[in-house]
Order: sequence, then C-alpha cells, then structure tokens
Amino acid sequence: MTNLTLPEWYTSAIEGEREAVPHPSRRRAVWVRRALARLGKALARELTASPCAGSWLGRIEARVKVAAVLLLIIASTFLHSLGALAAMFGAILALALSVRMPARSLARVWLGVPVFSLAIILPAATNLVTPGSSWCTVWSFGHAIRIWQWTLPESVTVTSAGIVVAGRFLLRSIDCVTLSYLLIATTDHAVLLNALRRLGMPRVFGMALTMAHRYVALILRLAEEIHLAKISRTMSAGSVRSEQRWAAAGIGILFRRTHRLACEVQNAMISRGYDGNLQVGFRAAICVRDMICLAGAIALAGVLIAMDWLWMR
Amino acid sequence: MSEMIFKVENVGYWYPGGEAALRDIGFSVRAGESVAILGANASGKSTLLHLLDGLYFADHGRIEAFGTPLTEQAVETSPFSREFRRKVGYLFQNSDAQLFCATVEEELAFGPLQLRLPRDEVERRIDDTARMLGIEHLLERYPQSLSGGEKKKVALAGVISCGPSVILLDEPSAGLDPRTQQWLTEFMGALRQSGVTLITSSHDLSLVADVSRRVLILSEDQRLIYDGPVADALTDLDLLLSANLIHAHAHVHDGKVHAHPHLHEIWHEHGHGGVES
Repeated sequence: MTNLTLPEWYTSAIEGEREAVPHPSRRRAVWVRRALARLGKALARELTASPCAGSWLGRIEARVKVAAVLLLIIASTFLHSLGALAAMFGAILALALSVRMPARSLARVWLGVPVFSLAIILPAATNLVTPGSSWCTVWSFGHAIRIWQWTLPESVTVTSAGIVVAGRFLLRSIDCVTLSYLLIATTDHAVLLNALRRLGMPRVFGMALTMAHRYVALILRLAEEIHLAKISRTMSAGSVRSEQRWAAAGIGILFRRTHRLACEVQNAMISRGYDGNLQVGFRAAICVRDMICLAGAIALAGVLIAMDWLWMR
Repeated sequence: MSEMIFKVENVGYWYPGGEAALRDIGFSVRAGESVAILGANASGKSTLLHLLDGLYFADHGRIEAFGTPLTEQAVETSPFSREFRRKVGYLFQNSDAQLFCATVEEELAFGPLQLRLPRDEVERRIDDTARMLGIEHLLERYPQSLSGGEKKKVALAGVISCGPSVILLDEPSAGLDPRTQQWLTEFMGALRQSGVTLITSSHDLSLVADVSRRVLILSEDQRLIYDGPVADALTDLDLLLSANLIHAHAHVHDGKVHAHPHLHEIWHEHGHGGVES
C-alpha cells in the first residue's frame, strides 16, 4: 500500500481544527460572479427556448412558416391605414393565443418594441418633422429659433398627421416583431436554421450558424462548469479586482477550450469527406396541411391589403 | 495475402511546442485485421489515429495508405482524397465534436453528401444505418438532446453511413455505461466478422481482448514496444506494467497483505503468497 503522509494543516483541518477563515469584508463583490451566471443562464435559455414548438403551428413545416411570415411582413409594409394594421395585430394575437403563447414571453416582446420604436419615431410625431394641425403642445420657445439654415417653430407640438405616422410605424413594428417571435417560439432554432438554408440562405453561412447554435450551448456549459468549479473552492467572494481577474482568466481558459473544440470539429468534418465545398440538405417534406397554412397566410395578406385599400380610398 | 491498408515506417511526430507525441513508430495493417493500440495517457494513441486518418502529417518517416503515401498533398488531391475518406472512417473520442449537424438525420447524411452520392442513395444509407444501429427513433432529434450513449451510437452511425472498409476508433468505450459498452463490443465484433478493418485505441483491456486479435502497445515515452497477439500481451504482466496499463498495488485479503499486478476489473484471481498482516 502506498505510504501517504498528509501535511499537518490538512490533518488538522480534517480533525476539525480548521484555521479561521477570514470574514469577508462588506465591500466584497459578488456581482461579477452573479452577472456572469445570469448572463450564461439567459443565453442558454434564449438559445433553446421554443415554448410553443409542440403546438399545431409547431407541426407546420418550417420553410412554409418562414415563407408565410415573410409574406405577412411584406404585406404589413403595404398597409397604411391604422385600422388594417390593427386588424393584422388582432390576427397575430389570435394565432399567439391559439398556440398558448406564454403571456410573459409576449409581454417581454411588447414591452421592448414600443419603447425602442417610440424613441425612434417620437420626432416624427411632432411638427418638427410632420406638419399638420396641432394636437398638443410639447414645448414653447416663445419665438422662432434659427439654427444655421433651419428654423425651429415657436412651439413644438404633436400633430394629428404625426400621430398617424408614429402610430403606423409603431403598429407595423409590433406586427413584424410579434410575427417573428411567433415563428421563433413555434420552431426549434435548429430546424429554423435548417429551413433558412433550404430556402436559399448561402450554404456556408447556414452551416456556420447551425454550428454556432449547436456549439454555443456546449461552450456555455463549459463556462458554467468553470464557474461552478471556482465556486466549489470559494468560501467568500473576493474583491472586485480579484473577481474581475478571475473572470478574465476564465475567458482565457474558455477561449483555449473552444479553440481545441473547433479544431476537433474541423477534423471530424474533414474525416467524413468535407473538402471545403459543403454539401447539405436532401429531404423535403411539405404536406397538404403546410400548403393550407401557406394559403391561409396568402389569404390573410390579401384581405388586409383589400381592407387597407378600402379604408384609404 | 490480403490487401495492405496502412504501412507505417519510422514515423515521428512532435507537437508545435516541441514536445514529442510519437517516436520511430513502424507497423503495417492488412485488410480485415482488428488491431488495438494500447497505451497510457499521453502515449500518442490519438495522435497515431490522426496520422492514419490524414488529419496530421508525420514530421519524419512515412505512412502509406492503400499503397499511396499519405501526404498533405495527396490528401488534398481530389480523387485520392475522396476515395480515402470513403474507405476510412474515424470515430472520435469526443462525440460532441463529431456531432455538428442540426439533427441526427443530417448527421447521418453528412458523410454521404460530402462524397457526392445521389440523393436516393443518401436516403437509403440513412435508413439502413439507423435501422442497423437501432436509432430510427432518434432521427428527428437534435444532437444536444441525446444522452452520452446515444451520442456515441449516432457518431458511429455517421461514420458507418459513409461505408468505410476501415474504421479508426479513438477510446470508443470511454464514458459509456456498462450496457452501451456491451452493445459497442458486440457491434465491433459484428463489424470485424463482416470483414471491416478495425483499429481501436484504448486503455480498456477488456474491450481490447474482446474485439482485437493483434495489439500495438505504446510506451509512456511514445515508442512502439509491442506488436503481436493480444493473448500474449495480456499475459505479459511485465510488459503491461512497463506501459502503465496495469499497476501493482497491495491490499489486505484474508488477513494477508498482497502486492501483485492488478487489472482494474471486478474479479481477478491471485495466489495467497502475501505477507501476514
């Protein structure tokens, strides 16, 4: 049997005579660690989240869904009346409800998009960009202000025409983003990438995206393992600087492992005949149900454009 | 005499940092043979398989595959390259590195598609390979959602669907549960009986004993120290000890301390000539 002599500090630790562990100071920072852990979890969740992939819409062929969503997005750019855009939103909402889309996911989409869109479109709602009858005054200067070759009016007002322009932009953004989210939520990401490839996205680009999607999840797991290994040997959070140093070192280790994995993947591809000219895609399975779905999207787009034409006459 | 598959002469390979991975290796493999490459960690087993698959190239010495020197130029030249890739398959140790497609079905299609096989032939190969390995139910699944054993089966299916007559297997049983290990052993036995040439790197002596007739043993200083029948190698305890494939340790048994070479298996036989404890 191997003669193993443990050092004295180790035996005393085992016997319970542990050295006093220094108490963490109040300013110990755990935020770097927490931020990294949350970022990793959020990324992993977003990479794999397709909450409605099992719904009836999830069973529609991905290429048909991509085509239908593209068609409806293009149709939304032809719509000018707020009524038609709102009707489109109603139809999308009905679809989202039919696949039991989690309200939390929809809320996240709807909270982010209007705020971002409003920030962009707000100037267009005022008489600075869109002239028209004033609806309300935002700011009054008391007199016209001249800046180089532009003249600002005495007061900045929200105009009726501006509200229509802003509303149209906002509704169109919400329609498009909700449609895109509906596609992502009802289609597994890998299948979606595959569908894009089959619809003509350049092969190398498609393969690169597929592999990135496949391996980012793996690399995230690696990062999590490094993180957990560190936590398992940490009794208290270090200073901000030491946490930052650890994060930087962790990124370095992760980069090295990722590089090794990339080399292995390349070798695995070469080993199976990859010679730089990628050959992908071989099976197509579009059934009657898919065609009915596509026909439905075409009909919806047609009805909305007709409604818009009638309202705008 | 059967066709010469690989002829390795005086091959050496060094890592970019200057550390030796293999020194003066020489052997040959003929069609239908089942050869095991045994060695401790860092003895150069995986590097040797990479060299045989034309992924790395020897720093000195010469490797011939099917009578053609396996050089960078030859492997990049289309007719030989495609023929070589069709004939030689490689099962990597890390299944995650090998499963890079979106679905299992695409994984099986990848090799045949790269070999520019017609679409109906690709579909036939997918169906046949999936049936042969019992993974039909996994075809629509995504590789990241598979268990370790399933990943290994899919990785093997991805190799098989190219129809290779030679398969290089790098630590195929590593990380597998006992049932999948048993399945793998039986599957490799079936491949061997069908005439497929198998070159397996491992330090799992039980796997080697089950699937190979001939063994190459690499020492810890990356040299070939044995090339011969498996049965002889596994009974030569000094050889196995020197290659760090088994270890001598002492344990108390029936009131006596024994020190003897020891294979890490559940059961082993030994005499009771130890020291009274």
